Parts: sequence; structure tokens; C-alpha cells
Amino acid sequence: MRRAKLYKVLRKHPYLLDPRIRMSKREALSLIDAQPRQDFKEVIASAKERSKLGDCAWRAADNVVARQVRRHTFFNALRTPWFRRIAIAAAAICIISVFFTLTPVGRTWAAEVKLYSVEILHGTLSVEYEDSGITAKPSFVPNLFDLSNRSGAHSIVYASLKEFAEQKKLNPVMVYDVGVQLERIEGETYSFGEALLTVYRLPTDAVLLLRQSWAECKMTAFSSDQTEYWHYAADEGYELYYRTDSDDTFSAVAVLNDSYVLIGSNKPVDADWLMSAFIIP
Amino acid sequence: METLEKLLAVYSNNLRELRAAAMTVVCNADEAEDIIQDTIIKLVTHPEKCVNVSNPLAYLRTCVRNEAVDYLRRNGREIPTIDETLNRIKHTGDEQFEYSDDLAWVRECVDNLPSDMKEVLIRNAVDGWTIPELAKEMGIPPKTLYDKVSRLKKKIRTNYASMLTVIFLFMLANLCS
Repeated sequence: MRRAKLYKVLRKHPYLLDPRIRMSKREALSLIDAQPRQDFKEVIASAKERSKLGDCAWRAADNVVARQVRRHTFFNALRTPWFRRIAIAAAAICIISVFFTLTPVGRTWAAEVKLYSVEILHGTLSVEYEDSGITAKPSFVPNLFDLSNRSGAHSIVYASLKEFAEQKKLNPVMVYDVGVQLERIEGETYSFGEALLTVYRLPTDAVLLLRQSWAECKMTAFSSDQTEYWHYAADEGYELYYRTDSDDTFSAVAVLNDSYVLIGSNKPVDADWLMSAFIIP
Repeated sequence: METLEKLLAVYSNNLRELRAAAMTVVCNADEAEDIIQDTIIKLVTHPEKCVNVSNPLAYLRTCVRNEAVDYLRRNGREIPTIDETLNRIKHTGDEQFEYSDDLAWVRECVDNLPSDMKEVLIRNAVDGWTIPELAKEMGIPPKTLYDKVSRLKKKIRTNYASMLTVIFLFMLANLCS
């Protein structure tokens, strides 16, 4: 038998060693806890009455009681390690909350953090915060054709881009060329800003979708680790990253000064043509 | 005086456990309360005994238990036998009781121990003294106590192995028949 097992049996059945110990500590504790008992101060008071000893003899006990009473006041409770930890954590939470809600810098940071955490357009484009600003990073080919799944968006159909521009005071981009038809204009209001979905039909019968998003922070560029999968082109006022996948679908991201545009098509699109037809107001 | 104060501080922080230590002997909560007070009175009356206490909590557990035993003696209470205690526990149903082979074997094993070794085991297993602290408290060289405990452990291991062998052979014989 191992020592631990022997000691476990002895603790459970201490009367095997000494018949005067008639129950285990566990059983005794359960009986003790069944009724409220005196605290140390009351125990000392009762002991004083029974002993008839002088006050001098009880000085040490009185000191311990006094220390206990002091410990139970609020400011002395601050000295205990657990209370101190809770107080520090609460203070830290308060300071952080005040910083992010009341100060201008904090509010800007909060907006950036929020933007960082939100998966814009359902994960098609993740946005990261860097020193130079916000970096758009396409994590996979945007599936702009899935119009049914846009939770959290409040969408309104507009008759024209001009109507949207007037109402929202924003400048939407457009694709303009002979034979290109603008089929649908839908504005979306997200928690992080406004977005505009435009659907074009090209002469090749390809459907071209543009989703322009005005985030609260300035867009700059793709992160370098993603650029190898995307072709890059730049024109006045914007940068374009595009690619054609094995299933002939086309996707692109145009980064503008005040917004970014996700572009998707169900058929291959000539990038040069797109840049020539892409009109920035 | 300062040592007494430290000891009383430990006492106040472990009041529940020390009450339980008294309760294990007297089996009555009100009497346990009296013992708790009597122990404090003794500590306060003889502060010189509180110096050089290496393990305050274990010391207080032992003090309370000894005070409880004195209380029983003073009040002329009979000490029940082990069988009576086992029967009480079996019938009160307060605790899940299993009179296992291990319990029977431990009982047989500790029955044959000398009284000083029983005291060492109680203080070590129940009160929480370490062997060097116990040696200091009992005024014997630590090595002597270590040797005694080692011999005891060895004996327990050997006897337990023999018991398991007997049980195994008994089961084997039953299977064969």
C-alpha cells in the first residue's frame, strides 16, 4: 500500500489510530457548517467571561480582534491581495472605457479597432490597421454575386447614381462605355459606413458587380504578402488589383482616396477596358 | 507575546477547521465551542509555551484535540471502542461507509503499532506535522524519527503485498474449483 493511500484511509477513519477521535474531519465540518457559529471576536468575548483573567492577559487576543475589525473596513480591504486585484481590474476597465468613448483619439482608435474586427462584406475583404493607414487585404475571391446573404445591412434601391450621390453626399464610381447597361443601384448602410452595389451588364453578356464602400478610415493599399496573387495597375486617383480565376470569374479591388471598390464578374473582363471605362467623379 | 499574537491570528483564520478538530473528539457542536474557548484560555494563560512553534496550524490542531480529550476525561465520558465507532458511522449513514479490505487491513496493521508511532501517524496524517517538525516537537533527533517511519512504511508495504498475494491465491483457488 502506498503512503498516500494509507494516509487517506487514516484521515477518513482516524479512530483506527486513536479511538478518542470518533469521526473524520469531513464529517465534523459538515456538522459544524449546519448551524451558524460564533466568529473569533465572539469566541474571545465568551472565553474572557469564562476565564476571569485580567485584561493584560488578553492583550494579544484583543490585538488580533482589532486587526480583524480593521481589515473588514473598506479601505483596509483594499490592502488584501484579492480585493486589490479586483479594484485594479475595475479601474483599468473604467479608464479604458472613458478613453475609448470620451476622448477624440480614443474614439478614432475605437473606430479603427471596430473596422479591424468587422469582416467587411462577409469576409471577402479583411482590413488591417497599419501606421500608414488602413490596408485592404482580399482573403479570397469576393463573391459579390451572393446578394442574398447581407446580414446587418439596411439597403435602399436607387433610381440613379445621381440620386444616391445627392442623398448620401458621396461620390460613387461608375462604368461607362457603349453597350454597358446599369441594371441595379442599391445603397447599403452598415455599422462601419456606407456601401453602394451597382450591377452592370456588359456587351459580352457578362454581369459586372461593383460594391463601393466608404469606410470610416482611409484606405491605402494591399498588404505586400497578397500582391503576388493579384495584378496591379494604377491610374489617376486609384489603384487597381485584379485577377482572373481558373473558372474564368473576374475579381478586382480598386482603392480610391475615400473608398474602395470590390469588382466581380461571372466572365473574364479585360482590365485595360475596365480602366478605360471606370469613371471616378 | 508577539508569538502568542501570531498564533492567535492563525487561530482566528482557521477557526472552522479547529472547531472541526474538537468536534472529531466530542461529536457535539456546543461542546466543541467550549473546547475552542478553553484552548484559547490555555494559550493566553501560558504564552511561554507558544514560543518556537514551527508549524502553528498543526500545533493548534494538536492543542485543540488534546483539550477535547481532557474535556472528555473531566466529564467522565467513556471512550468508545473502534467497533462501536464503526457501528455508529455505519448506522448514522452520515458518510458513505465502506468496510473494505483496505480498511480492515489498515486496522490490523495499526493495531500492532507501538503507541508512540500511532501518535506520530496521527500528528503526521491528521494534524499535518512534517517529520522534522515532529522530531523537534518530540525532542528526538530527526534521523531517528525518519528511520522509525521508514521501517513502518516498509513493514506496511511488505504486509500489504503479502495480503494481496493471499487474496489473489484465494481467488485463483475459487476459480479453479
